[in-house]
Amino acid sequence: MLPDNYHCPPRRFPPASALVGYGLEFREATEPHIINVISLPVALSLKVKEVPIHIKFGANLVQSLDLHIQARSRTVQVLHFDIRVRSYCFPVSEPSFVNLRQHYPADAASPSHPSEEYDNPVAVKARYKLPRDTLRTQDRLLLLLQPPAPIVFRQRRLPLPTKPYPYQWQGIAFLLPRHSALLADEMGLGKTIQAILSLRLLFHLGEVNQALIVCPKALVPNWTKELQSWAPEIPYEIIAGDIVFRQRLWCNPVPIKITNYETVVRDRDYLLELGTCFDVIIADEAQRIKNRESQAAQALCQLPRMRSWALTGTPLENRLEDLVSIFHFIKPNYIRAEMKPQELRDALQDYILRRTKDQVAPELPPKVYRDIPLELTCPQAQSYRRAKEEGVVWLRKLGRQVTINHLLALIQRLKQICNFDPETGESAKLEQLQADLLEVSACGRKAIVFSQWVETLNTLAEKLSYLNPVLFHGKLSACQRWNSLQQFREDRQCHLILMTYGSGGVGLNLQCANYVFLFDRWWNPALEEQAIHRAHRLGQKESVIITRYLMVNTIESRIQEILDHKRSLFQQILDSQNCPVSSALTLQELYELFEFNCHSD
Amino acid sequence: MDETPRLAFLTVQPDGSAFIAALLITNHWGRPLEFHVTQPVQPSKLHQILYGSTLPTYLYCEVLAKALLEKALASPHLLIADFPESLNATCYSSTPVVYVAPEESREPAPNMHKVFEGESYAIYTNCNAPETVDFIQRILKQVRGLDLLEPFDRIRQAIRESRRLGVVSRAA
Repeated sequence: MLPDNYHCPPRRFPPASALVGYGLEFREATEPHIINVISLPVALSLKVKEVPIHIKFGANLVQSLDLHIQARSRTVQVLHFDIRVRSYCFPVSEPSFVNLRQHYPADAASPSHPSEEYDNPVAVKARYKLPRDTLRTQDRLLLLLQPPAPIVFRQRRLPLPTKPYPYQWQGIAFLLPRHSALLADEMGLGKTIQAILSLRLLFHLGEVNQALIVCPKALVPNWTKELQSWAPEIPYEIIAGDIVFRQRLWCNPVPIKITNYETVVRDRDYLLELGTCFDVIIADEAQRIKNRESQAAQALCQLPRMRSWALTGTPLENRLEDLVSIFHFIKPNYIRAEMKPQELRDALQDYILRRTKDQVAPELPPKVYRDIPLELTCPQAQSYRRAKEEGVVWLRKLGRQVTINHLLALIQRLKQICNFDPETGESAKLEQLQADLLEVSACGRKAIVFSQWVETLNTLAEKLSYLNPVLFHGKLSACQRWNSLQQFREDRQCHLILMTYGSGGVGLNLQCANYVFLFDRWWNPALEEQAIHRAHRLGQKESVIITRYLMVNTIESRIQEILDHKRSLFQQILDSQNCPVSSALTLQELYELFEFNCHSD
Repeated sequence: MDETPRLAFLTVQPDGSAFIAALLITNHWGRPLEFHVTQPVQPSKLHQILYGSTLPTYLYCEVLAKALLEKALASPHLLIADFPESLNATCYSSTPVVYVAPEESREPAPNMHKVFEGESYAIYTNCNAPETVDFIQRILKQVRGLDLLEPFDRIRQAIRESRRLGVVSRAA
């Protein structure tokens, strides 16, 4: 460290000519040795032995000479820069799983890729989105300094079956740095792909060694298919079979384990005993844990993990409690249903990423809704009137003992009559559906028909056998369901798939269909949207026509009102920026609403 | 060179009338290994008078870059800077230095010559030694998939974050 000031001693100050090549020498006042030499841009011209050498002082030199000449007897400023440097070192972990390295040696030369796949704007958008809860400076800088995901894929020579969309890169950039995240993209935008690519990157960065994917049973084959396409080098294993076999599988050091919610419930104790801490747990279709008291939610929340990611297009199906419960898995006790709307929105902002098709895939063909109001046939109308009268009498008899289950039972009964007359089997909806499907099959198109009842679907399959329909519902085995899907996708003669909302509503890709029929309506608009998005998703090339049958002056029109209300609630919390949430529907409100509707029907 | 190349990205950013320099060392696919950032350095009037037009070269290379490279634990194989003065940094660093310029930037100084051309940028050096040029080109070939301008965006973001967190103080 130099002293605060030091002298430029006059007696040592060299003649002007000596400045050339040497510059200004600075010596400490009490010490004879040179402590600093400053080079100057000097241009001198001298006449030596009759040879003219021109002297030309630049303005700076004149000034500096003046300054130093004047300053001979006084202190000049310190010229030394005091440079302080903050340094950060980032440890680099290599992928631990041997297959990754064998597949893609780190020292292999990078291949050239088409530039449009990873163009700069995409890379910029794909830069890590820093989570607010990363507190350490070192961690924050590490995240900020990470290369954008597309660049890592290119440089690590990780093949991709197709080019992800820019918004999917953004989704990956959102997931990668987060230990708690909810990817709530609208159905059909490729949440599974984004999760797989994020997982794949984390494996290659050496940050993850053990991942667990939990999804509904029906979606396990879909996950395996997508993993084979989007992360072919990462081994996975499906946890299924009897208890002994499952316990052996849980112990296998396979990087990715896939299982369903029921298996997690069954094996919870064993897993806790085993003490495995997963680097990441992905809860797919996380609405399955919307009830915090459910066994699935409790079991999943108990599993030790470093990262908790949830995927769902419908994080808020009915009430704020749905979201609170999902967050109990993502970040326990972080939000409460009692929080004020603005407070809630602020709290969620950093943990939820939701994009709609309108926002990110405007090129997707439009959805066209056809609401078809229909009148009950005479036998249906008679049966309906009778059932309603008997039901109301029954409810009145129950008086104060009426529960929501009584109301729901009556509503279900009335809805079934809206589908088919129980005595004659007549159905206004079926007549309309037959007419509509005739057109669909004549054009060589495919259609999906949704109902909430397996019995309804079986009846439809019988009545519409000439269209070679296939069934997809929860009473079929996983193998039968998968065969149905394959047949519907590949068989040109198969124009129709009949699905229940429960089993066919989530996670399936059925872009080969352009028509969706909602034979009856579900209570939950989110689930209806899930169903519609089986066909209206990325990869769909043509418009999707959604036909909703509605029996006028029946319980179905009341349901429509409830659906509109719920849709509005969903948009207020998740889709709108500034619109305040009025309030979530409480059970009591729901009960009153049912009661009112029931009595007024 | 047996090991995979390590790249050092050097930038100097104005901060009012002061300057902040930062050095990011990455592996061959852009993953950060080290990050070094200086506090803002404010040249005085005396510096400006004494150094005149050579002040940027002196300050950027002999003061800031030198201080940063001295802190580096892993020695980089190539130093890539986004300012042309960096090419003078060879006087204190044995690491070959190149200047990366965006495509739209003006013509570089006459003593520089292009050694590599990316999609949106060009790489220049002022070194004529064939073995050094060959070495530079070999490294650039190994990392040819990288956009060599992109890491500077990361560095600028990291400088902003450092300043926001108070790690780097604001210039007076």
